[in-house]
Amino acid sequence: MSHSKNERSFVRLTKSQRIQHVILFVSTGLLILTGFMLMGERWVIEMFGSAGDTIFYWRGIVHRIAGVSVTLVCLYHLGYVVLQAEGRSWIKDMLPRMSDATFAVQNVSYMLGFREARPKMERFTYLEKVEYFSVYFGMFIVIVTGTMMWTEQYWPKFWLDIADTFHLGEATLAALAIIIGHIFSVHYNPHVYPMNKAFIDGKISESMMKEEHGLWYERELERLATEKAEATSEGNGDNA
Amino acid sequence: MHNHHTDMPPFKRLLVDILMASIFILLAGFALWLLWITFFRATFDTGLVSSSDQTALEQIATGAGISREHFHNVDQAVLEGAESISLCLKCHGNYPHSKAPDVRAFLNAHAFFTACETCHIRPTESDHIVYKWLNKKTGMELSRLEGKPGSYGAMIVPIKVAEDGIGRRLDESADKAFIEEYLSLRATFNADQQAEAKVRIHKEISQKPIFCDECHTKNGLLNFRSLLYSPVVANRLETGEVASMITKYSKFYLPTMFDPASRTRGRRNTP
Amino acid sequence: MKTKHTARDITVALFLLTAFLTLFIPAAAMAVDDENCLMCHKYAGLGRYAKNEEQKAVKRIFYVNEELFKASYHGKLRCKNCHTGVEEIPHTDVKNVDCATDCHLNDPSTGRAFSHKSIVNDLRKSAHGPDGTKKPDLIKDLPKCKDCHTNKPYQIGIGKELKSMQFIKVCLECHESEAWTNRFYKHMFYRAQTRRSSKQVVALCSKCHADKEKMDRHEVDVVIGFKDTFHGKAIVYGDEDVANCLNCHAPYQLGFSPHRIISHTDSSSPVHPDNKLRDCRQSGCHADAQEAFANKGKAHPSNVMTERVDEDGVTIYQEEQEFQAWVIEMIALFYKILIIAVVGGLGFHRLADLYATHRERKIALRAAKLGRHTS
Repeated sequence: MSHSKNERSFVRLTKSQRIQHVILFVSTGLLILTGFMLMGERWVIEMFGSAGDTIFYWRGIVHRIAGVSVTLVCLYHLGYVVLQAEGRSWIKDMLPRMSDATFAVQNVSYMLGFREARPKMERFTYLEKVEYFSVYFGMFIVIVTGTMMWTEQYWPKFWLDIADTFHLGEATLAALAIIIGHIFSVHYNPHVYPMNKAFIDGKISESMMKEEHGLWYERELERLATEKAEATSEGNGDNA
Repeated sequence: MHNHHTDMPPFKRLLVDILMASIFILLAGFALWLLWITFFRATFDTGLVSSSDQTALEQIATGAGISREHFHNVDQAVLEGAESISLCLKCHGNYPHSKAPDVRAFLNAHAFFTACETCHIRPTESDHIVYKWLNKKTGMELSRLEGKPGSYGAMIVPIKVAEDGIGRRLDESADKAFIEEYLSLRATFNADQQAEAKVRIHKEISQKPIFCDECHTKNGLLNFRSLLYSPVVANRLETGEVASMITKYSKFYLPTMFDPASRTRGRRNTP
Repeated sequence: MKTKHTARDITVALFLLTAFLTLFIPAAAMAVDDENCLMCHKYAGLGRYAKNEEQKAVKRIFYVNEELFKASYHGKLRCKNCHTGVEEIPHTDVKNVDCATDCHLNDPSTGRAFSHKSIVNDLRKSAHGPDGTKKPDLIKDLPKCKDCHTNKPYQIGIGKELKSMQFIKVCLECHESEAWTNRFYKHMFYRAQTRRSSKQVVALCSKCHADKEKMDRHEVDVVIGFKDTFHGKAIVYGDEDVANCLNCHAPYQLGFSPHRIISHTDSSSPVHPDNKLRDCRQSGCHADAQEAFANKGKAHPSNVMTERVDEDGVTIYQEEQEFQAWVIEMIALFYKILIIAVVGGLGFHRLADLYATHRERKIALRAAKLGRHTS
């Protein structure tokens, strides 16, 4: 049951990916907080008393700063997955495949007890792929509608009402998905509680890799083996 | 599966558990609130209740039907109302007099600082009555009058002094337990039962209440001097403007001497 | 060090001096109650329960707090200046106060008797007055002066008051009467400030305009959408820079007044489609606003569909509004469905995963036990 601390680990997230993730989650957190302040309950707002005015002012400023930073990191990410080899490998593994449907059915049947073991899955599980592309969909909507509302003077009021409704709907959906789908699984899943450290150190343990990304694990082992073979045949350095 | 939580020392583990549990409660609460505002909260709450959304009874209960900002400024003295310890006001309200159009407002003004029984329980000839200012909250006797006229935080209360020298309030014989119980059960009583209870509750009340001029006169029922009034004020209450207004109130006209403006009006309008 | 102390001492001295002056100036400004009304009206309990015009119970309070009255806008007037015709006790002859009555004060700007007559006339002709309303048979519902105005004392923040009291010394250099100067200064200082917070303005207008029954009676849209707008929310936080009702419907800056509000269908209304753009652009609020921003959509959508037919049939404006409300509703519905699907799906997945973990744990425990047995 116990695992040695110096268990072998693999690279799950590169430094660039981790930095992108930090910017994304800090900005998103601020956006959710400052955004939903507009939906706050009256009795909470009234507790601010005379400071309410100032709080409201900073709410707007912080929301815009976080909005810009999230837009920039999204644009950067688009360039990253097109222009950089690391990014291209990321998006290639992220693209949905037919096998994902099979994995989904198999994994759900395992969780419900109809199957002996989890299916061997790829580098990104079907749920991670859904989450990832939801961010594309959501970011597109909030960035477009947010920009519209920021430049409100040039838009018909009705379009702004539509933008507002989309912005709020998407924000609610995203916040709920992040809490239930993401935070509960990377922090409160008993496998990883109190947190999956991958977003800090970028590493995934061998046992977890085997469990959740079986196919990728096998591929990685193969790749490491060939690399080692090549290295020894070429005779330069050793892979400790 | 690897779980570094189990590798922690117990104390650190407890701290992490508390932290994670609090964050979990926050996140789950926030998620539930999001669902609530999406599916159940109709609109943003500005705290405004439209009186048309309320039933007539609710309007009375919340004061929506009755209160409106007074044009002249109402102060604490009005908001506190009669604030009497008297049980009577539980039914009769802060402004108990309504029948006599000529004097009802005057009588209500008195109700703010005079106990009901002062006028409504007439002492017999043989009773030895002393009148005292008693603090509305503590029941303690005042030693001097502080505050605005009538607003001394106290009420004039008649005290009946027995032969043994012990003072009792005139309404002391009222069956307070009976009244309280009646108030809680009133809704279940039919009209006859209510009438019967009311007769019993009001049995001490005199048919003919003490009238204005029985006090506001020389050697009246109340001795205003022993009620801590200054001789000037006491005199005004007994024979001065107040008393004279009362004796003539039905045919009393405001003299124009109080309105110098009306005398100068003609002059001002002439260029 | 020494200079610091001196500075503090001077501040303290000034503070004490001004506080001292503040205490005594109102006392000096007080006139005697030469009509002797307060003989009775000083008693807090003077009052009774009564029925108002709508047969509703009201508390009639006849009490007047002398200090507060003397410090109020009308504090220099005699009771009978407004309460005309009160000659008898008891006052069976009392008339309702008419704010159009000529005062016995001279308006220093004209030298003639001061009066609210022109404002009362303006109000009469406005949408809120008997001559301007769509429903002249429902005059009882219309707001009277007292529904919006009370005789408040000049309320100036304490910090500001101290400062202003220091400045009064400058006025007193020329003006002899301290009481008059104090009053005049307070008047100017107070009126130069915004008297009502946006929150109070919204609350005041909402008293009637959020009352569905009343608005239906008058065939006017119920305003329930404002509180959901950005303006409405900012106001709840205490933001005074966003527009409240009056900033758009009666902007003083554009020559309008709360007393002259007219229907938005009137071409001279600030919220008439022809004037709306100017309305949005005023005071540098939405300085670059374009035509569509002002006119394509409603500033505060009313969620209540009024089936109203204008003189020339149902207007396009209303149809547009209904269509717009429908579109917004559909988007909201789309997200509601999406949220149910996503939250349900993810929630199910998480619970199923917990169930799997629970089974895994049991199996691992059994295996460990078995291992102990065999070894």
